[in-house]
Amino acid sequence: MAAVAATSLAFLTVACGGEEEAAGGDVAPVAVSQEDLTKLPDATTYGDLPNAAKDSGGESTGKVLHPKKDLVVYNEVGGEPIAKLPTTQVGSPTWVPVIAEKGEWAEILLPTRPNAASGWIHTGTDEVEAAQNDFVVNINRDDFKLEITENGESIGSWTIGTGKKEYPTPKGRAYIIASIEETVNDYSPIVLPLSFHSDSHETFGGGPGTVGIHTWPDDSFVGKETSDGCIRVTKEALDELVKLPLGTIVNIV
Amino acid sequence: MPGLFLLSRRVNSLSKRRLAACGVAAASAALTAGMLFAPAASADEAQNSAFALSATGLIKIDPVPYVDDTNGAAEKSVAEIGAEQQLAHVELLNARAGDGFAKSSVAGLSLDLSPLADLGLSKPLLSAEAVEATCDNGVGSSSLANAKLGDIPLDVAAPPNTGVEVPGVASVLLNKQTQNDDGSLTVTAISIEVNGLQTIDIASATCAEAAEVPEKPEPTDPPGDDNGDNGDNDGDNGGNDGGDNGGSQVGAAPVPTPVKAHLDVTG
Repeated sequence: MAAVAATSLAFLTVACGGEEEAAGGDVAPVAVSQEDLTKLPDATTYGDLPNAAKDSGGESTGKVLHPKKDLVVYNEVGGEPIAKLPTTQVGSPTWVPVIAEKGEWAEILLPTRPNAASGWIHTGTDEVEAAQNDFVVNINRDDFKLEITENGESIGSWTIGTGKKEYPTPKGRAYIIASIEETVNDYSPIVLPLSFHSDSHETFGGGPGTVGIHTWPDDSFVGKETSDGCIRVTKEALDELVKLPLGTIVNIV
Repeated sequence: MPGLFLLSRRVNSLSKRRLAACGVAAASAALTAGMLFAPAASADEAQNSAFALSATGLIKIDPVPYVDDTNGAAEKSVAEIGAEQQLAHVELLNARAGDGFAKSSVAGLSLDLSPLADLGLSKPLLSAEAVEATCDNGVGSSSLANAKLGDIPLDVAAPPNTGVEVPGVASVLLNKQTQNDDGSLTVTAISIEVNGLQTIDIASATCAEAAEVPEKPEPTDPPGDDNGDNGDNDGDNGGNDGGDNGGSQVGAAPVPTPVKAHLDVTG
């Protein structure tokens, strides 16, 4: 009944507003009490949302969003809350890519397990900051190639290293979740963790098996499968990758 | 303490080299280093720290998981614990800390308090579906979901230092907030003390004010440096100052500023 009521309300609003884009897009988010908010798991690289919807495959909008406070993530437009998206990820400000929009709702990719977890957030509030990101990273594991595009045009391409046969680099549509000046591991000055996780390492070191992009002390990795799932890049490539906004899509095929 | 600190430094630097050579072998060394660091962390070192669960006395649980920002932003999760003699059961524990920020949480908490005879509860059990403590830029808050001490339901969002009336000689504070000598604030969602001998802290977060947020970086300024030496970056994450989107036009997404942090990715 609640869903029916919400839908009716949406139609009314659309009729009054006149120019709303997608039917259903004006559905108000389900109210979440303080107690319910406390129960919701945090969407970070340490989280696991086994029931989250998978990446719907929508074409990336080029938009990235930053929550200014913990933001509730829903399983669908007007649906059930499944998580809360914190303002930071491993110390960096949270930015998530938008892969579909319906009115004031945005489908975003999440940094949690399982890979390609997605959810919907209500953007009709000033608690969400939006920005435009024209960059995309394309990775071809078979060819050991990493390419950066800007507005669809290639602006650089490099040969990379990927995961060993037993610890393959997972494929799919990931994104850069943070820019880390790594203080403990010394193989790379900057590490760019992705939203994806290893399918074969449930944990790795003290971490949750997060796949990252980083360089390596020597070039032995170039064109080879030598990592535990991470994407190893040359210094030259890393110098360009660190300039990409957080939330930049990384397509891995 | 200095000896322990030096030792932990050495273990830590060893773990770095091992990890560079072979990630998996270094995992336990890195964990060891982290555990040694915890008690050594002094006020002038890590002002931001968090742990999900701790108890001293008859019921003894070392802070778990414990993180501080000695190595920049850090986070730890523990999937499940069942402490000694099955007194405590927790489904998920998390702690994270960074510049001017700390947060800890537990989910599915059940703590058997029956060893504490002085407590005087008819049903000696502390339970909660979820508990969180957050400390952000020197301001603390806490939140409880479906939490009970014995038969006493605990407030979802109690004001700072809210006492709970319990029989016996226990002192129970919700959203306990303590100003520390170094200027940082500690917020503990549930803090129980019994007869001066037993303490139980559920979800604790300590933070100071974040470092000054620098002026907006020039968009053209490359964030990395050129020689692989990363010692000169402020790594400030005091805020996000990227695109300003004052209207329907959104700005360009900001070039990120690398933040000092530690995360073991799959090398």
